[in-house]
Amino acid sequence: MNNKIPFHELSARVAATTGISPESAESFVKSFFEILSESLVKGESVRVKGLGSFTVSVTNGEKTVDFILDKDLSESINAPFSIFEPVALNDEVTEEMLSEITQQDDTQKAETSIIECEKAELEQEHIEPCREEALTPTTAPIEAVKEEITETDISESKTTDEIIDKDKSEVVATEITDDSLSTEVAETVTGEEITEENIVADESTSITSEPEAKVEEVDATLYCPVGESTELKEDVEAEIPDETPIVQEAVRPAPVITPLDEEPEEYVERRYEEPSGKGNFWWGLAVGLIVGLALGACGVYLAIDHIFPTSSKNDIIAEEVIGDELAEAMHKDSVLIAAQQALSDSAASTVQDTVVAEVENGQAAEIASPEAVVPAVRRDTVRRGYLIHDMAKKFYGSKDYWVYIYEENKSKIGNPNNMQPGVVLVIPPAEKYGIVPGDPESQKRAKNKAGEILSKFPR
Amino acid sequence: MLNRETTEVNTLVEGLCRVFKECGSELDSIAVPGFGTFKSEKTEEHVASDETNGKRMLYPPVITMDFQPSIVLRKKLSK
Repeated sequence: MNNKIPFHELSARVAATTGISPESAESFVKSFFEILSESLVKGESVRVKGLGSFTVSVTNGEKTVDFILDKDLSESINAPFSIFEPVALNDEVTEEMLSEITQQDDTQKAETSIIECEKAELEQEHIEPCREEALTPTTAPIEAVKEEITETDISESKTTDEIIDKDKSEVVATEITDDSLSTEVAETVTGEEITEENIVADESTSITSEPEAKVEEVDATLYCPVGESTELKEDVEAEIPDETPIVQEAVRPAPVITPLDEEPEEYVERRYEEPSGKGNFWWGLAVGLIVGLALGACGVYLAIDHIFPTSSKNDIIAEEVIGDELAEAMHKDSVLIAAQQALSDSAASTVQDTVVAEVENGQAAEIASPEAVVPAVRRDTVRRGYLIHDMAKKFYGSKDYWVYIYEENKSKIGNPNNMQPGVVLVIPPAEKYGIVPGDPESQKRAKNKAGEILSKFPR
Repeated sequence: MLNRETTEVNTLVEGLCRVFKECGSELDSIAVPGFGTFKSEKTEEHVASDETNGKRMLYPPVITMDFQPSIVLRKKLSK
């Protein structure tokens, strides 16, 4: 936008557009304009279709070239504005009204920017910068004017009568005092014009043509938007006072507002709380995992015990029962041994009497009464001097009943004449074999059975 | 002088015109050494009186391209 396209860039663009090499495009463009200039020097008018027509005219005794843009090219350039058409204004509409409309548009733009700023927390603090932002476009023309003024300063020695009157330049120059900016712009302007001057020098000319063009450009830019120097002055003066208060307000220290001071503390607290929240979360997760694992282990233990019921437990219980029975039997044996010893000492009382005496003492009631013996399995151990006959006498009152003990433990005993000590025998209940202590018939049956057994095992 | 065929010259001239159109749309100036400068200017919408009926008209923005001959060309013309 508003760039100056030098010759090499023009030829490069032509090359890019047409697809030929840059060198050939450069030679073509150069030859094209040479032919044009030769024709114009001859006084001919040249019309290039798609570009425009060049005619030589005389103005103030000096020949110049008038250029009329081709209609098609003009339409294509103005295509963005083709939707607009000239509108006839009523007599009631004045230029002031139109200017008011344009001002309203500008103020609406500024208001929209201010409304955006009002969304911030501190309205008064933000309005001033926003106004500055909104007003920056108004300062841009001032800078453009500065640039143009520096151009006039550069070409001041070469200006002609067409140069703008000094009043304008003085008015604007007094308003703008930024020398550094003007020098910078001046450097850039001279830099841009070096190419032009070099090119012109190549063509064996000593005088630069472009400064004059620059002067006319300044003239045009100064005249175009305003029209008169006084209006320009007013505009510049109107803009500059607008600019200075903005700077002052920007420099002015901002008032201290307490809500702003409180906010950082809140942020600090939030920052402090966030890590602790994470710590609580991880602690809670760890505790939850531990509790879950413990509950799971308990559940698994109970489930395994429930699903796979162990026989060892029953075995343990049976062993406990057997142990209890053995302990009970041992106790009873000791009681019976004591009774036997008492019998041997007295030699007068019968075994039944001693058993009854024990029952009376409340220690061996079950042993004496067959009804009480039934549920419990009684056992006794063979030892030296205490054989199966002794057991029969002990439990049934007569040695003849040993055959029933033998019948009960046949598999363990084998030969009743050769019993080994340490063998544990089960004492069957008396009812099982019809033992009736003191009954001669029962004793006779036992003796007969003993004869049968002993016949099998001769001594 | 161009040593090119007519069709080729037409194509090249059309390309040159396209470049002029692009530059004009972007309000760029084209400087041709020894010939002059083509400068694009935009005139904002303005009120002007119509010469035919005398009514005041509101004209839309318009871009014009002006040509300023270089000093070299003007010297050649003055000779």
